[in-house]
Amino acid sequence: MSEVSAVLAPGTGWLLLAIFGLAWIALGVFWGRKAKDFEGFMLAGRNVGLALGAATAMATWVTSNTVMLAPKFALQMGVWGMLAYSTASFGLFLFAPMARRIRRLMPRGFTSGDFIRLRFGRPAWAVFLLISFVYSMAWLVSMGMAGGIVLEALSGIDYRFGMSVILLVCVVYTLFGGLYAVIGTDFIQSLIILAGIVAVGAVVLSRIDLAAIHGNLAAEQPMLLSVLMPVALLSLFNNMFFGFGEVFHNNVWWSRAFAMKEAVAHKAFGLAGLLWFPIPIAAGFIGLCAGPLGINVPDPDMVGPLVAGQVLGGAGAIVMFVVVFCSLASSIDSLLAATADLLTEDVYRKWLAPASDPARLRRVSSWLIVGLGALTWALCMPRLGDLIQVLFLSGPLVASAIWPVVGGLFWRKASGPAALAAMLAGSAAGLTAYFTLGWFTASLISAAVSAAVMALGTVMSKARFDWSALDESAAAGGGSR
Amino acid sequence: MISKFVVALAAWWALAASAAAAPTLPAPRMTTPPAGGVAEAPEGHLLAAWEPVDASTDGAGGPVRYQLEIGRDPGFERARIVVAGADSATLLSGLRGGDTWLRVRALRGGAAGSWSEPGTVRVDYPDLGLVRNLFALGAATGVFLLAAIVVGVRRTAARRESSR
Amino acid sequence: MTFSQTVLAVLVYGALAASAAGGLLLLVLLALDVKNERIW
Repeated sequence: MSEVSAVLAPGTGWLLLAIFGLAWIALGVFWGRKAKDFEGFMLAGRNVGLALGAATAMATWVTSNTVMLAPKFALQMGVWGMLAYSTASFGLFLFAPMARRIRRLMPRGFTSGDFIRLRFGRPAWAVFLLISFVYSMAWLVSMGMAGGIVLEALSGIDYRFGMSVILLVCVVYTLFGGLYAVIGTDFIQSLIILAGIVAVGAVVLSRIDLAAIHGNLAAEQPMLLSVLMPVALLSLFNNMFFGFGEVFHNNVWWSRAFAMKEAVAHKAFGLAGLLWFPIPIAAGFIGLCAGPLGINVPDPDMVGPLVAGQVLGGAGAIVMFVVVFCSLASSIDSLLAATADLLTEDVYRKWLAPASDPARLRRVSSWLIVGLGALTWALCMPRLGDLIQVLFLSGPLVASAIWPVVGGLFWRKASGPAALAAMLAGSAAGLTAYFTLGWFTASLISAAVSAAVMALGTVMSKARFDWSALDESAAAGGGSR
Repeated sequence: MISKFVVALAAWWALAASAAAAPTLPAPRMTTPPAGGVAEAPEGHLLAAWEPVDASTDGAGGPVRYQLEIGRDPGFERARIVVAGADSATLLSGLRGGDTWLRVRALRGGAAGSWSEPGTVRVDYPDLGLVRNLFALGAATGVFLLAAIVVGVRRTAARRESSR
Repeated sequence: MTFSQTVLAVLVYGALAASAAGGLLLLVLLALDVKNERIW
């Protein structure tokens, strides 16, 4: 067990949870009133501006993993480990031009599934939905578990209570507020996250100077400074492709593209990438400080709070607590909303009950938000450590979806069979690599194999896709171009 | 005869009493890497762990702390010491390729217990040839992706222009 | 300072400064959006 156990009293922890939990729920109810109809609930009126758009993309991509794993990566893999983590921001950069294309092709689009179904047909759509659901649940469960674990380590609040409260708060304000609440709270959370990381980093730097850190590393752990640290080098590209796969396929990002003003979408994603890039480095370097500060690390997952707690005492623990809460909530709310939307639109409306009216869809979506929350809670309760591995295993799955999305958006000749084959081959190759070569190769191999299959399939295809088929509003109105 | 026996008894008693007053710390037992065994660390980091010693006395001398010695050779001639404090685990990272030996001992007050039986950490980094190839594959795929997006954006924008 | 010391310094100070600037930028952008009534 870690030495940092309960730097905060449980009472303080509960107080913080109560303050933020109630505030977020209140905001959820307040902002939820802006949604006049189901489309408003799902897509915040398709009118979100640059400030809120950039903030929501950045905050959603900052998870507790960013804050907690970045120091661990730095500690285990050195400077390259931190940089490898930062490459995940490239997904946001590259999604920016894609977001613009998505808006142009699908002015009344709702989900990523809509695109794949219209573009590639049902078989590819089914595989895509499966990949998306597995990844979304893996992400949700890893967030729920992380919440319980960190809250317990920082304040002694029992894992089951901490995890349950965080999930409950997120379900409630997402249920009442929809995407308006998600985006609004994301803005506040992004400011808190940035402020917290800068505060902790600045104080740690004031207690120890970089020359000492560097000297200590050079003497005791020279491999951490080495450019040739093998695993770190490989994880650089692996993390990058994992990130691409996560952002390109998931409805969390597509729903934001649909929610923003058309002129804003690509700028918001680009800006979000810039805002996110330094965060793993700013949060991660405190992992490198453990040695020079003479702090023993009995549990690498806790190195961040350990250092913050030692250097800043109770104040540091409070800051970490709040930053972790915000990074968790900003991701869980987005996942709940976007996954419920995907299931409502793609599975319920487009497949099971096409004639549903918006009121019914709103109810279905609400039940799904609650249901997803409950399923997540059930999977988190037993606290199986291996469940977090499922998130890493989803890397090769989502990386295989990169090319169907990119090819589908830009290559007229990209066909359904090519997309299907690319996803299946990439996933298979990536999963094999995971177990034979190591986790730090799986997403890379998946992306490479999927690229080859997609490219080959496209070159061999005779298809010539009509882009206007993606515009469902045109189809309803009688085929205007 | 009886007096020799009494003297021996008294001497034994005195010896036992003094031993009880200043108990030596037992050697801890390494669990990761296992004592006398090998642990693999393919990524160059390992959470070294050992069983805490049973220091159940009246607490004389203060809390028990641990020292881990990391040696480049099994005789620990070229070695460095890492202090783990009161924890019975510590993370080692940035380990060199090949074998490294670890052993741990307990400290209390100024007194040190005996060293544990050492364990071995084996770091077998992925072959640099494989690393190079995968790195190249990653770079190539990345460039292809970037090109696909950049060219795709240009071409689809141009088509929009020309269809007006 | 050696090269790798410089790299570490640039990365760490740069990242902290960039994060702080990012937060301020978001506030500025929000103010602009509020002024032009383009929040959402």
